[in-house]
Amino acid sequence: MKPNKRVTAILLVLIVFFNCLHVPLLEVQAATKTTTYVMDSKKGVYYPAKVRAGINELSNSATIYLVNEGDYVAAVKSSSSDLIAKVTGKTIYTGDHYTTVRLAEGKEQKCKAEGSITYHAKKKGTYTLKVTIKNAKKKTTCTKKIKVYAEDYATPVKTLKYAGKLYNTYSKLFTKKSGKLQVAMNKGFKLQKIEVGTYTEGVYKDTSVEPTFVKVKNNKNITLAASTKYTVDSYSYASAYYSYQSGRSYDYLYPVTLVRITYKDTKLGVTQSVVYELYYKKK
Amino acid sequence: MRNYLKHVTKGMFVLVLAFFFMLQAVIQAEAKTAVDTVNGVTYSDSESISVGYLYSFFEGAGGDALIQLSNRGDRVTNVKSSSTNLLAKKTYESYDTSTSIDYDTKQKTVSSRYYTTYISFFAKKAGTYTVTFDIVKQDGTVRCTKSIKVKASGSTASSPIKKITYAGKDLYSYYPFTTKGSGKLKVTMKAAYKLVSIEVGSCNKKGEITYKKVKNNKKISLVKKAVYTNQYNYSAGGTKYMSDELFPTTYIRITYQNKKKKETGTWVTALHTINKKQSW
Repeated sequence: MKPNKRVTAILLVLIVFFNCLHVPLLEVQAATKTTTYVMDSKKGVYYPAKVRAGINELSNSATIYLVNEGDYVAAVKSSSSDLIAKVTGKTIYTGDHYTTVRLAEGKEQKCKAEGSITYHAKKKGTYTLKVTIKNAKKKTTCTKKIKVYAEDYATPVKTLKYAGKLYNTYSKLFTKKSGKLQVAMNKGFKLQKIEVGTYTEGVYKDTSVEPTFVKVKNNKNITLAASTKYTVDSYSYASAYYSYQSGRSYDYLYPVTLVRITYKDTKLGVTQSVVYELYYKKK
Repeated sequence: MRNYLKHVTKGMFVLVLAFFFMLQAVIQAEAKTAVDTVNGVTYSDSESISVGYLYSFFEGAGGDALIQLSNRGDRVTNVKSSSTNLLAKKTYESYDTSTSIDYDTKQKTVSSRYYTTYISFFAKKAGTYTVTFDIVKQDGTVRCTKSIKVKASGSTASSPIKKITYAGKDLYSYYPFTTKGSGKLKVTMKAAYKLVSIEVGSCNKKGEITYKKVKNNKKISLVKKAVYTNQYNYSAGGTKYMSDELFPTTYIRITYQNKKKKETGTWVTALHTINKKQSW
């Protein structure tokens, strides 16, 4: 029996209609971007697509990782005379040696070489660096573009204050057991969260030591850690007549409290963290 | 290679830069290793640190001395500093312990090894200090006592230098880099300090800094090209590094003496030239 054309037509429309309506059952959240590095699997180049530069900072550098043996970063060209750039470093892994880069999807990639580019911005602005990659035969395999955002500053945190005292690399010792923690960010960096981390005294049965982080609100009181000791048991084995244990013990000069600031870099479109160490000295 | 801190601020940046440029000391992390094969100890017997700078909590960041012991049961104890102006403490120790029980006698035998130890330092004032430590055996007796010379220099409170000029202008006016390849270097100390020596340093082909003495108010030539190579080879492969700097560095190390207290210290600053030419 010949199928009814009208019914077939309606059926086809319905099929198309329902296919278009197909919505996944679970709304999958896009993974938070934490790096501007991109992987060109075909050419074997892992490079940062966007970077920042502080104007008149002596130098900034970007590292490019190369998968294939013999490949190297041959040249770099800047889009402006206000951004000076040069290929300043070359690392080659010979024989069985390699370096590993962690890709955004959680995968790992072995690389046989690295190239570093140093750049210096004289003026604020947005620039492009064109990087040429060559192979062992000195032939160009590809060119990559790196966007450079030059600002007055390149650091995300403008100021960090604890109990009214400003933190800086030369002044990390604080005498107040508790006080207000105040974080101010530079323009273009959006504060997302502040966490305070402490190492608790005792024994950790783990191969790595991780401090315990607690979320805190900005401009609120925090209390500094008091203990300097902790032990990490990295390996232990026991049987009826024999036991073995290896580990590491720490007992630092002053108790350390970590302040982890997570922010979104609106220009680079990435979420990153920076950790500061506050040390407590009993007066 | 030494690192040094950079502070860049908006608006008043030149003035602030000048202030910080003069105030900053290079965070020194020099060390010398001594090997005692008889007692089974390898340790840093000389350390240079910056005064008032609290080196990071994590070992290997500097401001500490590494001690490695090869005899089972030996342990670093009794760390003592020659002065209250230098804090010294055993801050890290890695160990392994094995306990075996004899099947017949049920006797326990414990054997421990403390193979890597770090002693951390924090200097409140500039000076040269001696830190001693004992190496005790498993039975508690002292195997030997060792000492570490710790030199702390550079004050965070104030710079001993009144003015440094290069080619007629204040050093900070050549930040971040200068196009003047040579010029007269003139150092003027603050009244309380005496200039002991001026040395100009550059990196050799391996990247190690070597210094040469120069006279005050005399012409110096800056490093214009800085290319280094280094490699590490192992049985199955290795790593080759090559470096060709955009800003070749010339280090200026000033040794000074506090006239009253007679303490000596060193202050390191640097000048950079620019080299855009790629050598490979």
